[in-house]
Amino acid sequence: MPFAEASPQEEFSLAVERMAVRALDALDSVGGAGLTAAPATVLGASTADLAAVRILGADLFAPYLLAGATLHSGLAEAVAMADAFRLFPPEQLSTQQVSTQQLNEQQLNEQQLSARQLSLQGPSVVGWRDWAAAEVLSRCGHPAVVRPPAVVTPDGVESRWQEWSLWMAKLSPLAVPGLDSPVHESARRGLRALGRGTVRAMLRRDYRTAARIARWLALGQSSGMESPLRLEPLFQHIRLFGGPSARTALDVRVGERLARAVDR
Amino acid sequence: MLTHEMTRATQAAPEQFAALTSLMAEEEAPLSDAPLYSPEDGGIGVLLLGLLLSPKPPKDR
Repeated sequence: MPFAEASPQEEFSLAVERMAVRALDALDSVGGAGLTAAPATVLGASTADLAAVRILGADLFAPYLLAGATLHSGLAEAVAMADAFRLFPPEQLSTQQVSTQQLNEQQLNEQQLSARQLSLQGPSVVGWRDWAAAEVLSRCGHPAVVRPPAVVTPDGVESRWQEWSLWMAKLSPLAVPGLDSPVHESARRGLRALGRGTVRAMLRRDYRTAARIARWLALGQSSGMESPLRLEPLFQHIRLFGGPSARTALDVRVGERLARAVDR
Repeated sequence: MLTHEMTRATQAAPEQFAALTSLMAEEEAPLSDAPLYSPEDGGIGVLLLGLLLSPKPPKDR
């Protein structure tokens, strides 16, 4: 429901919440009760909806990836994602992000330069999320070529766990089964750093960030690695205190499903 | 089969791209909501009262 005076940011934020609710419904229906179909609603009926599809990215397909369901080109999510890629081409997004950063660069002084080393990964955040969405879309039969970004991950993950875990939080849609990349490899190597980042976010009561980082811990646990934190009470706490955001709820639900996958 | 009409522009506007990128690379919450220590106003008075009312230490012989 677009508002007359709403900025694109506000409009897209609302649309993402709606889309996350839909993904949560799909999580219940796909594989949850033996059903194989997501809620039959039209996706991408407006520009804001298509933006929401782009923002959720691979998370839109998380119900199917978690359930091991077959992806095909007729999926409403796949059709909408293909449309969203046409409306918001990946190369335009990267250019936008870089130009914004160049503008900010002029305002930086020397003291901020070291801190900026990590913010250089801004374009790569969008790039990696686009790569993941395009990868899943290709598996649906809609070929979309997005090359993985050149910047993979910062050096010294353990020593810079704070910045690195925040970077990984932004890449939480990549933490789904079936995807593998250098980012996933760095997550497997840096589980302790991710654990520290999760604890820091919990202490700050930034439950949204905590849920996003903890998804990586859950993914590691689902592949047989030992998580430095007990994930069940962690997700339970975020579920209780994490607020009404559907995006956070989606991260929690995906994380819980991943953490439980180790028992299967 | 799902059908929907594509009546939008072929590409989004720059401000829409900017909104999209900022929502994709979502930062952490700027302000922490962690509980901070805040001493009670009557704390010092309660302490002094407790000291006055407390029994004296035994005298050494």
